[in-house]
Amino acid sequence: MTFKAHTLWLALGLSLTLGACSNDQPENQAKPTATQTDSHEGAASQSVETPSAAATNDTASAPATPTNTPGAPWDSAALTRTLSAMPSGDVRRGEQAHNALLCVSCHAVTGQPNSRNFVNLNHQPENYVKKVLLDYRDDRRAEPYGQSKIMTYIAKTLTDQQIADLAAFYSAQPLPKGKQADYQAPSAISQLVAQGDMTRMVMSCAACHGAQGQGNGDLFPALAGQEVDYTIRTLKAYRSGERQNDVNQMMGNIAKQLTDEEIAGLAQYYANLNP
Amino acid sequence: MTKPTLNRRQLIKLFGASAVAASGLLGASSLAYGKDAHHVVVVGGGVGGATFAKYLRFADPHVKITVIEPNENYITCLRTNDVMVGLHTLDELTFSYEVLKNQYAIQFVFDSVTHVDADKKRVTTAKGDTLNYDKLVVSPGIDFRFEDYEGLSEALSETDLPHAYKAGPQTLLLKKQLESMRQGGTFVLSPPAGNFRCPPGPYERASLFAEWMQKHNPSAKVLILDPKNSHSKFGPFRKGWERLYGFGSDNSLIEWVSLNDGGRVTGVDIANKTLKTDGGLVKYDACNIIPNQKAGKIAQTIGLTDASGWCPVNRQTFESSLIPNIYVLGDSSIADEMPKSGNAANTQAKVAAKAIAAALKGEAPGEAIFANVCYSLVGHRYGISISAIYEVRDNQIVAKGKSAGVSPIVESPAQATLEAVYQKNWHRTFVKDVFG
Amino acid sequence: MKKITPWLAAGLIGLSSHSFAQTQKYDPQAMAWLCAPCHGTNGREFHESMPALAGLNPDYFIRTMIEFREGQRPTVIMDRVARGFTDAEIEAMATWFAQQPAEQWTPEVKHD
Repeated sequence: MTFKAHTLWLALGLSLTLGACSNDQPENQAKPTATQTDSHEGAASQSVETPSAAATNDTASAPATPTNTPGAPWDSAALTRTLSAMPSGDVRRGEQAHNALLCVSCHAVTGQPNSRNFVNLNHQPENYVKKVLLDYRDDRRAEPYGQSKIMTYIAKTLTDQQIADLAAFYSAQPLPKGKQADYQAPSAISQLVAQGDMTRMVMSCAACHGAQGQGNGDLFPALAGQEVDYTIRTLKAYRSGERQNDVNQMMGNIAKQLTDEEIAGLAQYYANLNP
Repeated sequence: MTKPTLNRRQLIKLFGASAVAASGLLGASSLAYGKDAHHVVVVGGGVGGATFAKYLRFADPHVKITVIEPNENYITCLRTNDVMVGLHTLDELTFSYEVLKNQYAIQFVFDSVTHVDADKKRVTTAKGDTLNYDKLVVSPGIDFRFEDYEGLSEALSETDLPHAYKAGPQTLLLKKQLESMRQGGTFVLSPPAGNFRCPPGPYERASLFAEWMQKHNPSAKVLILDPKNSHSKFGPFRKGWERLYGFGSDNSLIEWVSLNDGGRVTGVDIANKTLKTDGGLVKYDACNIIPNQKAGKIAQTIGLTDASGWCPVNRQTFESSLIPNIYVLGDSSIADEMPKSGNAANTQAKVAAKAIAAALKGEAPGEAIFANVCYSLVGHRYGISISAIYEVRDNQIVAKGKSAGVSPIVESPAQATLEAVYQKNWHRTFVKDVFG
Repeated sequence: MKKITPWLAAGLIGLSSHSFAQTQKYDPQAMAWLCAPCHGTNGREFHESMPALAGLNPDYFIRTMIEFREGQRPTVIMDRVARGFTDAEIEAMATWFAQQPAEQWTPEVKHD
């Protein structure tokens, strides 16, 4: 064990304590970038101004409060600024990271997710994956419904370069196929997807997530082939306000209008969508 | 005591509609135990006993099950190391038997067993009750060999030298001793020799104490005086200690002295805060002797132990090799390659539940299969594990296939980070599998 | 859960060619019970890092276990666990778990 490596692990031990939650000892905080020791992307890491990095700097010498110090809610300008400062990713390096960091242990890349626990990452837009991983790293996704803690811990070990590489890798994977070839969507659900319901200010799903559920741009994840249970609990978490890492509360506002039946119907629709 | 009942809705919730329909579980809902209903008595409501009772209910909806346990609430020994460094409270490790009572129709008697008449198949309790059994299951945990250490006694362990190897007041006493140790002091930890409960436990304790010192007493250190030349998860612990606590350097927060280097502790002098060891006298500022161990007291009383101090069993069923119709689960039993762990006791209990259900029907037991998965924390965000599936070969419990192994040592922090999360999730799920 | 039925049935049909080709000596339930400390009683615990096994597509269960066992899919601990089981044993567990009623998402009150 070289001295340098030892220091890295000490730094990691400290920085991981950022995952501090109600049960943790009061302890000094180190900002997440303390783990980012890979020299080749150091400059890029430093240039990313995420709100939480600033926040934790201020409290670097003070004992942490028992709660998380989450990143500030996103607005479009902050997100654009943050994403444009990220390094560009490499698919091959992303695949290596996917294996070495054990992402593959849960998020298998088979084209077809099959576990009710784990979200499908295939074909997610590159910037969306970056945003989600930054959200985990900066505690914007410390949702209290049992969903994201493991990703919070693992994301705190990620460098900006690794995040970019993983994003490049997942976005390069094909969209999963629908599960049931003979699935027929109820007309009310098809209509919600295609037209929305402006009487409730519910925009059509397809407008943002794509006509094939393929995702879109910086913000909008692919939904096609997504696990039914994952979609249900995610929409319910947006609806209840437990999840709020969306920009301008876009998804939360829509989800608040949806009934349980509509959420279940939309989850089936996207799980079975066969573009 | 109110009579436990299972209604149809509860049964279906527990077992699923198809299972209820298929297995005739609804028969248990009336709980009208006929005079001829078999009675299985369980001594000890810890991991082994509680798991057994729950899973016997899965295996036999009609049998009458009674657990005799002194404590109305059970504190798991699992994760008590976390309590001593403030990551948890004992309350968070305390579980009631309400679910087992109300949803699994298991009767509880909060009392201690004082005598077992194996010929009459009858148990006597401290309060003077007697219970007749068809099968008796004993899962009494461990007892200590204080006599192996000059100057040590059970009384002293409760006042000055806590072993803190059973959850409860001693856990909190040792926590206090860690916290009140002088700056720059030496905390001596002496693990047991031979077979003992939770083989990685002492080393996890040393790790978490070192992490605590890093924050609160950085010039202090943990000195492990070991009566062995190796221990559980040896490689992964060492790599973790190097990474987190400078192990092997001059400033290491952890130092380890093996048997060959004189690490065995043979006596203690609390007046002079000195330990007698094979390597000479060692001064300490705080001290945790985890004594050598043997089967729990009631197993000795009943006569289930052999010369080793542990209980020999039929490996396929966990029925005692010495007394018929009595089964021994968990730490007290001799299980060969299986460690004395909570997870091991849990899977032994399931094997025994199936074996006893079969025996009560006059059927032969199925082929036994066991597992152990055990996580330890080297730091609160750094986990390591050991795991194996076990089978019976040549009347010995041995690892099945190539399943036995410890965490790989890799440069990526992902493995250790994930194992620390898994440790917590494992505990959360595990206690639910045991107690409700 | 009725929506699961068609692909579950498809999975079981796909399986049958293997299932009867090999025999194994363990009660499938006895093997499946070993998974409970991590995956919940009858594989039903449904939260975060250890996936629920109850109601899992059996083809997916088999493929995943074999990939873990053969080192084709890096994982934290399941590679070691999977090395304890033969193909026939894995298939027997897959079939047993597929028949268990699935639990819905269990929110966890507390994290640490």
